[in-house]
Order: sequence, then structure tokens, then C-alpha cells
Amino acid sequence: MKKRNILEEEGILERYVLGELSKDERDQVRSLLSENEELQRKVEQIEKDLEKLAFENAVAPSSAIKKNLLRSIEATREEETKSIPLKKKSYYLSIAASIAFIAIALAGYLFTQWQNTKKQLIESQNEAVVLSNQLNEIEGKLNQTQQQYNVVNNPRVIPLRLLGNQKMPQAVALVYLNHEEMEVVINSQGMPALPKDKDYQLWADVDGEMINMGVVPAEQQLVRMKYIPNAASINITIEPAGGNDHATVEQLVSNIIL
Amino acid sequence: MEEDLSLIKRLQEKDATALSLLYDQYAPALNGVIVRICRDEVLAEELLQETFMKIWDKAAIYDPKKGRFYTWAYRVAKNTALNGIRNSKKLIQTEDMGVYTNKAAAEPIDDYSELKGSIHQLDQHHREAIELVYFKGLTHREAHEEMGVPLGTFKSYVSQALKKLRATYQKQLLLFISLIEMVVS
Repeated sequence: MKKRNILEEEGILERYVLGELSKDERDQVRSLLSENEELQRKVEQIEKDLEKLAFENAVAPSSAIKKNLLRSIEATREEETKSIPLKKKSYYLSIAASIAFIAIALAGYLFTQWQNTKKQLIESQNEAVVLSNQLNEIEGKLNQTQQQYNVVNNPRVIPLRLLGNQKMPQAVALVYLNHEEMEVVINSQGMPALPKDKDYQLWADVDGEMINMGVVPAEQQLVRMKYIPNAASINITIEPAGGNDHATVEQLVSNIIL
Repeated sequence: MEEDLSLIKRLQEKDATALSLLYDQYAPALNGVIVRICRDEVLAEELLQETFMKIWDKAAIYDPKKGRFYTWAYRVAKNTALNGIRNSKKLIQTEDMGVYTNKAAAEPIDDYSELKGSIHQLDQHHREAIELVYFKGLTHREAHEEMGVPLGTFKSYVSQALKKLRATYQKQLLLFISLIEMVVS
């Protein structure tokens, strides 16, 4: 019924053509138009009448308007077709590229840093091993020196200077005796080198009998020898290499009486 | 006037040449409407350009099945012009240029407000009714108050005016045809 009503209203088609109707009214008229050719002709007639009226009352605009219009359309179209999408695309692309580049550069930098650090660490570790070895060596030497020093630098030690006799006047041997700890040490640096088949041997004279104290290696700072208690004198002889069971008295080069 | 649907289709496909051709065809008629609504030639030209920008942008929504191209373009032009004068009035008010508005009121552009052609064949009240709704962009509701007649009466005025115009056109056409016949024979 509503459909009928709207057409019964006078001037509805004119208002439709003039664009005065509400959306609801317009839709109603349109749906009626679509099923009624007679009505369509009527509307078209109104349209044509008003159109003619407008053409009769046309006012030519200045030619500048058309130029402006076409120019601004060209401008918006250029913006639409290239600058905006292209700009955006290249903008995003350049951001992505920049980020990727920075990431790669950073990764490269960090990798070389890591490699350098690794190399340095290995070097440092090697150095530490070397230093540690050196330290051990030094400590060992120090301990040895300390021991030697303690052997020598002791109020209970008796230092003896054994000078060479007429057979070997240039020879000097230093012997350190410690009766309490029953220790004896010799420094043979002052003894001349012997042929390969000969060795110096140290003897203790106990009640007229020569008792072996050991073979003396040539040119040694401090060598521990066998301690023999109750010795009256200490003697050095030249014996065949490796030492002798009995002292060869003819080969005596030095002696000292205690 | 017959409409070139292929030209309109090209417009809808964003063919600038089609716009240029349609402008040549319709701009003077639409300008006639706009200049009478806003009564300011400079503003009217701006609004005409704006109208065609809208026609360009919104061409895709025009459906030939729902009416003639000119009718659609006329509605765009009318709305653009009505918005245009609303905005320019606001502008004048905010600028508080009393002298300016007085001047505009004192010197209406009579050149364009004077209608031409077949409308002069109509009675005064019919002519006025058409002028209000068509060339001043008033709605029927606004226009009947302007004329001081009931809405129903006003609606009749518009319908009758259009019928008479049509009769005039037909008479002109007959006259034209007989004139041609006379010339030919």
C-alpha cells in the first residue's frame, strides 16, 4: 500500500528528479520505476524538460576553468598512478633494505670481533701455559737454590777449602760438612777437567783407612756426597772413570785434615 | 538531447578526453544553474570546477538505468553549489565583513538571475516555482514557504509548469519542423 501512496503524492516524480527525496522515498520510487515502463517514460520526460530548461539558460564559463580542471585531474591521476604507490613501495623497500644491510654489517662486525677475541683468547691461553711453565721452572730452580743455600748457609755447617797439591796446584774444591745432620756437599767448579777415562773421588780417612765418599762430578756447584762419621781428613784422588773400591794414594791431588 | 552512453562509459573508465568532451557539452548548462544558486560569478566558476572534479571522481557510481546523465550531474552541481554558498557565508560571517555582505546584497547579479527561453511562456507563479526549485536549489518545502503558498499548491505549480513547458517545447518543435518543411519545399 505504501508503494501506491508514494505515487499518489503530487510532485513526487519531480522531486525525485530534482534529488529532493529521502533515501527511503527514493528507493521506493526506484523499485516502482523498475517494474513500470509508463512511469519510466514519465520520469524521463521530466528529466528532459528540466534539461532543456537548463540548456536554454546556459551560461558559458571562462575557458580557464576547463584548463584548470584538466590540469588538476592530470595531477591527481599522476599521484594515484605512480607517485603514491611507488613512493610507498620504495619507501618500505628502502627501509627493509636498510635494516637488512645494518643486520648483515652488524653480523659481519660481530663475527670478526668474535674471531679476534677467540684468537686472542687462544694466544692468551698459550701465553699463560708458557708463563706457568716458566714459573714452575723458576720455582723449581728457586727451591733447588734455596736448598743449596740452606745446605751452605747454616751455622752448623763447616766450610772446607781443599787446595790442590804440587800435582795439581791450580785445583780448588769447596766441601761443606754438617755433622749434626750428617750431610756433606762439594763444589767442584774449581777442579780442572779430567780425561774421559778418569774421575775425581772423595775419601774419608777413618783410623788410617780410606773410605769411599763417592765419585765427584767435574765442575759442579754443589753435589751431595756420602757422609762418613769420625773422619780425620778428607781426600780427593784421581781414579779410573766410575770410581775405585780403594783409594789410589799415589793419585792424591788434595786433602784437608779435620 | 540524446546522451552518448559510450562517452559516459569512457568517463567511468577515467578517460580524460571523455571528461573534456562531456565538459564542453554540459558545463554551460550546469554553470547556468550554479551561477543562479550562488549569485557570484567567481565563486560559481570555482564550484563548477569542483562539480566536474566530483563527476570525474564519482563517475563510477552513475548508473544510466537510474536516470539521465544530465540529471545526475545536475544533482552534483546543485549540492556542490549549495554547500559552496553555505561555506562562503560562514566565511563572511567569521570574517565579520558587514560591508562586504551589504555590498553583495545591494548588487545582485541580475544578468544571470534573469531567465531566458521557454520559461517566459509560463505564468508568473509557474515561472517562480520552477525558478525556486530548479535555479535556486530550494527544496519544495523551502520553496512553498518562500512563495507563501501551501505545499500541495506549490507541488501543483511545479507539475503544471513542467507540463506547460513541454507543450511549449512541442510547439517549438512543430514550428521548427514546419519551418524546415517550408525551407525544403
